[in-house]
Amino acid sequence: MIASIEPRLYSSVLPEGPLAVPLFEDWLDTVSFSDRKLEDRVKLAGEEILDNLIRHSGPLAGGSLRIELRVDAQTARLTFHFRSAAFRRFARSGGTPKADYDARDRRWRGLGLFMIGYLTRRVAYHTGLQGDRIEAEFGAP
Amino acid sequence: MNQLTIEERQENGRTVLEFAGPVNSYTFTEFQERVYKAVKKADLVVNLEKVTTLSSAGLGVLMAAMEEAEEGGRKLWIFKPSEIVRLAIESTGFTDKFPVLKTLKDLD
Repeated sequence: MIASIEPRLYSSVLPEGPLAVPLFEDWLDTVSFSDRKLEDRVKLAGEEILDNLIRHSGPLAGGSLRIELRVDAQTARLTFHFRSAAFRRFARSGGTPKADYDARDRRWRGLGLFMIGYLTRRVAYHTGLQGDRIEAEFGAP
Repeated sequence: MNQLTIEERQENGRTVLEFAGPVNSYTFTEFQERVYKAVKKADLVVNLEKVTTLSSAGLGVLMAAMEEAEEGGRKLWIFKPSEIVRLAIESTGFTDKFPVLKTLKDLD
């Protein structure tokens, strides 16, 4: 029998740019997870979502984004709050994830979306008057 | 901020690269340079026991390096992947493309 644990809430602000991912890792290290596998899923998928967000959003309003994490014994919900017209356009462009070799960068690209799909239960993007947010849910419902 | 550290040694004609720390979008360039440099010269064992995260960029480097090694008549193996690295590999759906060693004796 798994003891019920009250959900805990964590939040922080990350700067736009390449430092966002390592700072996200540092922040996640301060979060208390009771399930190591859940922690690993949040870390891997969170980094991929964040990396895509930074890459496709252009300048963010205020130069930063806010992250929130709600976690209990078996589930987690990670939310990225930001404002970016460029990301809205990117999100509308759609398309099917595809992994391909990039000869210029000498590596395979496109693996991130496959990873996100595997590691999360659900990912959703919302946009409105209050800005943009990406929500990722983990663990059994 | 955690740093990526790299140790290199030669063992039985192979290069062993031991990485510790995060392989993410911030550190993967260094990871890429060292892996490609090593795989051009000899068979390569990439020890990922102490890697704390492995992003799609790092995985993409490993997949491409494996193919490049094969074209040059060499091999690349993953050695002792940490639990998070195992999960990262599994999540790509390309698990069969990553040859994993349990012990270095398996090569002898």
